[in-house]
Amino acid sequence: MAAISIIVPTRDRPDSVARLARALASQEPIDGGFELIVVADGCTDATVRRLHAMPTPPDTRILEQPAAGPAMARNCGAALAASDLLLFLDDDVEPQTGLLRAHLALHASRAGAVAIGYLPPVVSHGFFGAALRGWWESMFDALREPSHRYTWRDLLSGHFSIRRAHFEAIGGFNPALRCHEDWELGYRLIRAGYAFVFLADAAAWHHEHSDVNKALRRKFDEGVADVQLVGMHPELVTALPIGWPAHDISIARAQRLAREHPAVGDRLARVLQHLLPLYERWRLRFRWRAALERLMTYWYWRGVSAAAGTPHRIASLVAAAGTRDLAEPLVLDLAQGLPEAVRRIDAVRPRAVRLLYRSDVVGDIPDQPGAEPLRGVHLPAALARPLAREYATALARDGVLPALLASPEINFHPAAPHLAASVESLRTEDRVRA
Amino acid sequence: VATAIREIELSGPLGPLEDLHGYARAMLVVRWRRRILGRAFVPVADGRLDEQEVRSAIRAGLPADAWLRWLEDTVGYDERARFGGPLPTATIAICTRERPVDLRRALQAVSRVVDAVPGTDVLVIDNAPSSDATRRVVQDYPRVRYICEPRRGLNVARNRALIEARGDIVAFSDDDAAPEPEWLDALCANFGDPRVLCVTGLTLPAELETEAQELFEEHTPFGRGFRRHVFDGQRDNPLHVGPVGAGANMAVRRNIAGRVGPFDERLDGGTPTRSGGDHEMFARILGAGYRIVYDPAAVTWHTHRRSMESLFATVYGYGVGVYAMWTGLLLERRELGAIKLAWAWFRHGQVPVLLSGLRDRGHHTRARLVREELRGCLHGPRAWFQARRLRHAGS
Repeated sequence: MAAISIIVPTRDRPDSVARLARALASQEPIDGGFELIVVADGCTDATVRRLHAMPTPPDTRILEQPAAGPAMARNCGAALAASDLLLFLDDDVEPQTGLLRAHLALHASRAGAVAIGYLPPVVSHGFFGAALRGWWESMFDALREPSHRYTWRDLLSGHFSIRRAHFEAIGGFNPALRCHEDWELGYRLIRAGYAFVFLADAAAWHHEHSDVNKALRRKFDEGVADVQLVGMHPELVTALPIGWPAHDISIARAQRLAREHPAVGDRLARVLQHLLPLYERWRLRFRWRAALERLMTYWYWRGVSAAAGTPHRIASLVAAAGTRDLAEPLVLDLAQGLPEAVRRIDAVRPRAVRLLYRSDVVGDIPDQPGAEPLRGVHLPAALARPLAREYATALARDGVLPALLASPEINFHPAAPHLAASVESLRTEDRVRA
Repeated sequence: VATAIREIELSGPLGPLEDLHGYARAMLVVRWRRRILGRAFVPVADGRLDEQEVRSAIRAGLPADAWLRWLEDTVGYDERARFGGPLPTATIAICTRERPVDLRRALQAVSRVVDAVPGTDVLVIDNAPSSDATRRVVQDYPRVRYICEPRRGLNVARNRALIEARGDIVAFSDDDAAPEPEWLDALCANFGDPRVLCVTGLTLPAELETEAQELFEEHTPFGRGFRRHVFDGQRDNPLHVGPVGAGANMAVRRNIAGRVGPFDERLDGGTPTRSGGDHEMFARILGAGYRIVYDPAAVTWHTHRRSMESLFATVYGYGVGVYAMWTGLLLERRELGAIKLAWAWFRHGQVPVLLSGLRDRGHHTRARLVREELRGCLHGPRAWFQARRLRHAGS
């Protein structure tokens, strides 16, 4: 039996699949080898014939299905997989040599892990290529950080691996979604307690051939998908743009245009899109970025409106999500020492933490919908960044911070009175629970 | 009028500073476990500073957020660690021309860096030499490779270093600078982010013994503050590269030429444009959407020119280089923003100093510096055309 089953959905991109197959053939050898399952999803060109004709790794199967979307294609591929370990790759990636070995090593050492691989982008020159590289790499910036708190949106269907038993137990991808199906799966996995791990060593070049047109179409699809997601998991509404208040007048305008005057909005969007090449020609990059930002906002809300139907439905979707129940925070006194606080968090794995320093409230690491429970490693990063001022203030009051460094930035007044009021009751409850 | 430079380690006991005779003031470089938190200037009387004066100077002179560096150290947080993994291999490159005394000092400092990071590749690029003085100095340092680059120009030498280097990162240091032992590791730690093509560091004055050195430090300091900063081509203006740093303390990926092209050989020392080669590269990196990190943990000590004549020539050269660079960006890359930047610099940077020089005789020398700079600015576009002509003729 192969050590790993690689599942690749594709549509009308035989050259990309050929590049992927070549890259897999030059992988560092692994015990047991691998099998490759290519699922042709509603191909309208000669993809399947060409796939059969091209040189592929020895254990390769090519399936064909009517157009049903990549989620269904991946589920079909997984159902036929012979191995215990599934690796999902998109057809436009080109694995680097150690990719399979890195995935296998991770799963050998950690049961219940979901391994997310790195996809360094290969983009075209020009403003759009640079922007694309920026968006793409920024996704991985956070994942690389040891103190990153994984969320449901970190799962990338283009490159991840999971034990087949776990994939089946969770029910696979939701085929109703044509976009953001990875986020939806990620949410169910996180909720079920699976641990996400980013594998920087498992890298595959991502040959991104997108352009402005494709990017805007993608934004429309994301709007549609987010309406579906909120319908499936209402508690996620605050984690998606659909549930955020319009903090900017241009967002409010885009929402209104998309909702009330889509014909006018589409025309204006086309005009604005025609300005992009002019801005690029004269290197007006800030105008170019602002215009693209507006276009993406508009097309996102256009997708939301198209999927939700009436404005009333959007409002009712958001309202239906209502206020979710937030987890009760674990209360920790940092005066007991940072190592002790880290140890407690690792032992309890709380969803939220309230940090005290003797009688001072330092602050909260709050509950987040679809985020993993807290680990000890999250604490130093929180204290050095979002809670730095409050923690330094508490340390200054306790005489730990060298007096020469106590600047006016460190205020010596009690912080956050609304939190302080609830501290005593939480402490009491904590004692009762203990 | 000279300024003494002293280092203060805050994690140890503080005491008075003696032996400051002959100095009108002191520059205190304040560290916490080797990491520089900031610096403070304090007037000196009777050749000493008592402990209370030292404390007051530190309290008044440190940046308001110095406590954050202390806090990061206390909780064990390093924002560069997010990219983890082993440090990339590196080559140190010193581009020089007929300055054997300075070069020997620089190589002594680099030897301490190599002791800290064994196996580091070190190159000296001898640019269009007229004697064998540089070669003879390098012969005394067996761990250093000597490369002769006959074509004249600092950017020509930098490109040669990229070709000759064996490390993945090429860290450039000037022949009149002395990097600290931790300098190379501090630069390399920032390259874990694949979007980072260049890292610059903190350059402090090695001495402030003459009026020219004081003026240079005041007018065009190399240092860019004590807080790490990421310049992102997706967010920042790629033409506004003054705050990024300087070529005296920078590292780039060896394969940078494949990403954004080599250093522009029409710019910088040894050409009619006199400077601007490093800043033009910064502009190209940011313009292509990549990142540059300024990391003050990478410290080098630079010996500024001692005479007023050298200072005026240097400042004139900066003016020429900046305007030559903007001319090239405007004509070849249609970067209209260069016009806006030139106006903003003139209106908000140069005019106020000129006016204060007219109003107050105490500011006369500073105004003279700006006049030299402006003279250079006016010559910059012409110098760019001259350099282009020479380059075409050469190739």
